[in-house]
Amino acid sequence: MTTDTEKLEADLSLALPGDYFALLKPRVMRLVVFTALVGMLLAPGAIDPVIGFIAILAIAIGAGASGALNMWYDADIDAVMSRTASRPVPSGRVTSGQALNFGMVLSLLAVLTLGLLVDWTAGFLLAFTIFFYAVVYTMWLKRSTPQNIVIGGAAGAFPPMIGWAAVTGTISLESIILFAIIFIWTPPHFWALALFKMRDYGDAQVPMMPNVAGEKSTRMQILAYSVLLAPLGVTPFVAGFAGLLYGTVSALLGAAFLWLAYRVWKIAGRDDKLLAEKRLFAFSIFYLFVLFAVLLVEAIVFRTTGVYLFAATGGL
Amino acid sequence: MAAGEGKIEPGSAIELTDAQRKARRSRNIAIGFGLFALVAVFYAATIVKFGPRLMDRPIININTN
Repeated sequence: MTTDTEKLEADLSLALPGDYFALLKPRVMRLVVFTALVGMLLAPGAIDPVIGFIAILAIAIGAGASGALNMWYDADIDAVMSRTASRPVPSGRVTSGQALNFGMVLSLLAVLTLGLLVDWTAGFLLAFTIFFYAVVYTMWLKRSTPQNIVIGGAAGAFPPMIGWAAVTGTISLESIILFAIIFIWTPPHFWALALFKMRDYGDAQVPMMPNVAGEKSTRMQILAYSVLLAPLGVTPFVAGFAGLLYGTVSALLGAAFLWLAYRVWKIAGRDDKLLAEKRLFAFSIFYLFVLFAVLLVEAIVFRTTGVYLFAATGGL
Repeated sequence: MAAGEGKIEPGSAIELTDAQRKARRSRNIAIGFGLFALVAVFYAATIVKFGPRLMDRPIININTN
């Protein structure tokens, strides 16, 4: 039996700042910063560097806050899956209430900062992104439909739109194209992962596509989304807000993406090591990173010299 | 405050272990940095947004017409 004093001691938090930092999903945050920065630099118009830095910071904190809210709500499933069992809440270093408060406070601060200091369209988009990720994806879709990551992928696709809006104060065709690329990229990326982590999601009773519709259907859908993605990846060039370098790189990488997705469909899991799936998953990360990196380089060159790398494009 | 309220009976108070004390201290420092960053961000944005115009206004409006 424990005395009152001992019980009180046991309730006091041992959480370190690093545990709270982990709640922000730093790896996701890094990707968000990167894509938001690309959206911001691609947008027509000037933004003060200090205000631009504040915008990126606010978007990063907002994205991190939605990660904390996700970990608050998902602690039960995170505890079951090997990939997530050591997160701060399931491992007991941070209580779920602390994660909730942390996420809510940071969400409010990030949205208010972005709205007040940068632009309210961007602020609204950030608020909507947090809501979409924490409520629509985490609380509703993730546990109820195999389309979870298809629709939830929108949350990950918003950052370049927010970056764009931080400069222009608007939502435009160009920023919607950037959104669409990440949106359509998400399902084949996640389902490739789900195919070789199937058992994990099954244990946690999260309805991922392979567990619900079967592996065959999942491979078919990966291929279908890849057919959409390959040409979509080239549209920034076609629409005239990216140069020939981007056009060439995106076309080549899109073809490679399609080929790897075709291999996943063709081999259909006959290889026990699921190499094709692992390859597609790894390549999908490389694909998105390179596409946005080229856009970033082109945007920087365009902003400093006024011309796109390797000649101008036709435009719409 | 009632007399004797400030006194703590031995064993009745929450005693922090070294690990708890250390964790709390580092959390407090992190919160401090966070608050300082927030102030710095709003200060920097104010300067950038208003800039020299901050001083560029009459204290008393004098009609020169």
